[in-house]
Amino acid sequence: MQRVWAWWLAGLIAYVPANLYPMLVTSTLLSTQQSTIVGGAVELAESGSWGVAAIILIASVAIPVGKFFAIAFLALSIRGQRRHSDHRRHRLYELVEFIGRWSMIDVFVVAILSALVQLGSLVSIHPGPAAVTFALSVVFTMLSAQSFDSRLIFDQNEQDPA
Amino acid sequence: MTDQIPEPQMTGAKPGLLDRLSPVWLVPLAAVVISLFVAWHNYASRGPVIEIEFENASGVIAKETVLRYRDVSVGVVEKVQFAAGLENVIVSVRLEPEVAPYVDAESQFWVVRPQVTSRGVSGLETVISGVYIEGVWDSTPGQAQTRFIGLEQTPTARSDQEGMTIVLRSRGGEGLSEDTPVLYRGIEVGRVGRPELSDDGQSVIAEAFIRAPYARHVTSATRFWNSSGFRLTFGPGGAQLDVSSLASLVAGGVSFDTVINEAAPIEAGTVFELFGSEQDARSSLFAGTGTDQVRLSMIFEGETGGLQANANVELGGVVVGQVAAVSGLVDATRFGDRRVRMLATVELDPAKLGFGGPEAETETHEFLSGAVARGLRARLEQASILTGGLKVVIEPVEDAPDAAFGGSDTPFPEFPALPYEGSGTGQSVEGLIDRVAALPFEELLDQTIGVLGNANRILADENIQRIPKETADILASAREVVASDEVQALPGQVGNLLTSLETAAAQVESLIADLAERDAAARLAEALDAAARAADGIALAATEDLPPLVTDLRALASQVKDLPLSDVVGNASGLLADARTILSDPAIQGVPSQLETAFAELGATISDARRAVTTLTEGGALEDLSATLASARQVADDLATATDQVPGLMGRIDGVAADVQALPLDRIAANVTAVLENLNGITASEAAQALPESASAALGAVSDALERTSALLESIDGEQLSADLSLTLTDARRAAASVAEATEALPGLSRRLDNIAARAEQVPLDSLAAEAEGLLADLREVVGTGDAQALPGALNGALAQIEAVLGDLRTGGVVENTNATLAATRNAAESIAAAAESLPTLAQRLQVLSDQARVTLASLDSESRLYSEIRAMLGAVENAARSVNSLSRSIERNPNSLLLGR
Repeated sequence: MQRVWAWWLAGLIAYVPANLYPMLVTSTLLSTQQSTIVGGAVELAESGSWGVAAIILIASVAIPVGKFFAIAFLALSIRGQRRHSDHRRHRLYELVEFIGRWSMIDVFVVAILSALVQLGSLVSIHPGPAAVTFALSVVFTMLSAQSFDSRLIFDQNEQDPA
Repeated sequence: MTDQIPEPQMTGAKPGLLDRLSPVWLVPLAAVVISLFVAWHNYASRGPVIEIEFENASGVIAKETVLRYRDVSVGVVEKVQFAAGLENVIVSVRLEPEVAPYVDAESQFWVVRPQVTSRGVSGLETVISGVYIEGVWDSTPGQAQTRFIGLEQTPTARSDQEGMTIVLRSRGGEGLSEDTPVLYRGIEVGRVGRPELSDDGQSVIAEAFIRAPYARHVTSATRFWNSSGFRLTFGPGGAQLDVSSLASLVAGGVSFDTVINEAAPIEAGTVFELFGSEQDARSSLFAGTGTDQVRLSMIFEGETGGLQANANVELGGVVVGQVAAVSGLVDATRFGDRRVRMLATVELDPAKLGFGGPEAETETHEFLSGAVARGLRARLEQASILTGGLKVVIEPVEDAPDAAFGGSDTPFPEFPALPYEGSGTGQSVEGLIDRVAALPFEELLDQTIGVLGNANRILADENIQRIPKETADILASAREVVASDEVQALPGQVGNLLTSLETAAAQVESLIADLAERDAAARLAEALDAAARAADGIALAATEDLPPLVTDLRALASQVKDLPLSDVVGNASGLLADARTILSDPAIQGVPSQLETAFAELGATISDARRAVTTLTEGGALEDLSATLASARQVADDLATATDQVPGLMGRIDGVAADVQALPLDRIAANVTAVLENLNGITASEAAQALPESASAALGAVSDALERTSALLESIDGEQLSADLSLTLTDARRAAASVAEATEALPGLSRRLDNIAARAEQVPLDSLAAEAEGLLADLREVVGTGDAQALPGALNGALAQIEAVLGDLRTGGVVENTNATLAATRNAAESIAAAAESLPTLAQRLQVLSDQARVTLASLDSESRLYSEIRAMLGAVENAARSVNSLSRSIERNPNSLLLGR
């Protein structure tokens, strides 16, 4: 269980600068624009692209934050009283496992954009420092989730009678 | 940053804490450490924040607008906010740590915006990247400062540049515009800042920054002038175009120069006057015009429209300053009304008054105040009659109203001035100038330009331009012609011509002389003389010897009356009756009219001939004429021959008469009676009765001949003609001479007739007398006929024609001949006179004849020979009459034969 918490903590730490630093640096002829994850989403939303903004927000904010909460819940639920059924906790664990890899979609987007949009001095897109930290954060949370032993969910049942 | 790392809940501390810890915990630990380091690094690397206060921060955006130093970004605007009271904008800029120490109190900040000026485009990059804040500071660290006041414009003198800032002052602001270059000998050494109005509003001032190496050339003796654009000057050296530099041509420029080396260095901020031109600047330098002028105010009343800026201010006749500005002033509290007075600002040059140095203004004020106390006042005077301009004259005025120098009502110390009594001169001159200005100069110029254009076109015309050359060519040709041999030979030819003319004249002269030699005139004169003599003789014979003849005839008649000659008388009376019949015959009576007609025809023909002859100038006509003249001469010769025979005839008549005289009258009477009967028969014959007609026809033919003769006379023009004429005249003279001879022979005939008459006188001839009386009556009747009375008119006409002929002759070049002819005519008349002189002799002979006739009549009975003789004579007379009749008829039929000689 220590590893779970350790990875979880590292992912959380990494997640902070991922949101503070710019994710994407767009250099055009006229200006250089640095946009953080949330800032970019807000800009998209302001410019009317609600769908894209929602996707970015869900993929980059809601899912990582949800994972943090989910892992923390699972880890705490092992030790504390059992309020929820084992089955549902197991389903939650599987969901975290499944969704974890999709959190890298932001990083993929940044990587693809950086690779594609390199028109010299006209327009170029570089990944910001947040991209690295975001990726680290995702990796840490995935490691944290893998470190979690799902059997512990059921072990608690056996311990109760004992 | 939530660095509160949660303390791991370590439960079950049975084993060692470290043993139970997983090495995985190093990962978040490292993350924390890294984060902390990054955070600390960020914080540590941040520079100080300074606040710059701008009036206007347009384009400044927080987090984006950067602060640049030498075009390198050294800071970012963190925050833009308003200062208290919303009057200014405070821009917070986080500096780079490296430059932070240098940003001290001398730092200057301004916002760089895109700017397009005549000097070029600056700050173009800010169009794209947005504005930025430029900051300058020196390169020495100083006391840090966090609060600055930003500049509105790019500073003229950047604090990082070495140099000197001075102030330029211009009255009108010419040449003072922002960013104008300051030139020193054509090299740009500085810049002029933004011009501003001076505090008093009378001039424009602008800072100018002279860069370091060149700033030392600016001393107290430096003069600045406006060298903007170009300057075109006309002078003794011709036109001069000055262009200092291309940049100054576009943007203007301020040049300066220092001529005098001995000049004091200046401090920053010294005010220099900007002159309009280099000449003004240099002359002001030598005139001692200082930089600091003493300004005074003067208030004038009255018509002061002529006072304008730059008018001179004179003190004692010396120009000590100029009027800087003129404005209106309304001050009710001071003057008591609200009239507008003129407030003139006057600049006096202390150097002109002898004051200098830093205390010049004070000294000047003191001097002026003393001068006012002594009665000096300013007043306006006419500066120029033409323009009506005024000038300010400061001079002592007697009884000047009390006034004092100074005062605080006016912008500058007031110098008391007297009201201006506007002279009418200026007005009238202005009116004159207005009228002159109203003259239609433009139309005049237009027309002049048009005229000049036309003249130009005319002059530019190729034909006109060719004129001089062609004139030269013509002159050259004329010179050639004059110089040619032909023309040079011309005088000689003219001389030859004159010589020929002379020769011709001489020939004409000789021709005339020749004519004279040939004596044509003389011969004509002789002919005329002969004619005259004949006429004279006839006249004398007719007038002087007729009465005795009549007497003898009367005696003869008485003798005849005594004779028993009743038969004779009867025959005679019958003869006389026949004669009367003849005389009363219309033909005879028509003779005068025919004569008249002939004369008229003669006149007409003469005029016609005159016309014809005037046309007969061709050679052939002349030849014909000469031939005709020759024929006429032939005719005349024939006539002369014929007349030559007349004396012979006369002689025979004489002989007959003599025979008659010898006849016995008795038989004679009978014979006479028979003769008279025969005569009667003869006269009763048609031939005799036709005789008058023939005579008239002959006269017409003669008149024709005369016409032709006159025509010939007219056409006589030439040697041959004159020769022919002279020959003709000679023949005529011969004819006349023959006539004269004939007339000379008449006396004999008349004498014999006289005898016959005398013999006949003895015959009883009462009835004969009566018949003669009847004959005379008939004659009188004939004479009394209108035609006979018209004879003088016809004669007059003929004379007029003759006169015309003579005129023609005179004009025909034969004047001399005509004169000669007249002389000849006189000679002829004289001959006639001579002939007439012989008429008495004729009369005597007639008397003798009558005597003999008386004897004959007396012996008429015994001798009948006379009778037969008379009969023969009468027969011969009859034959002659017939011959004449046939001649006249032939002439009548063919008048040309007279002229042609056929």
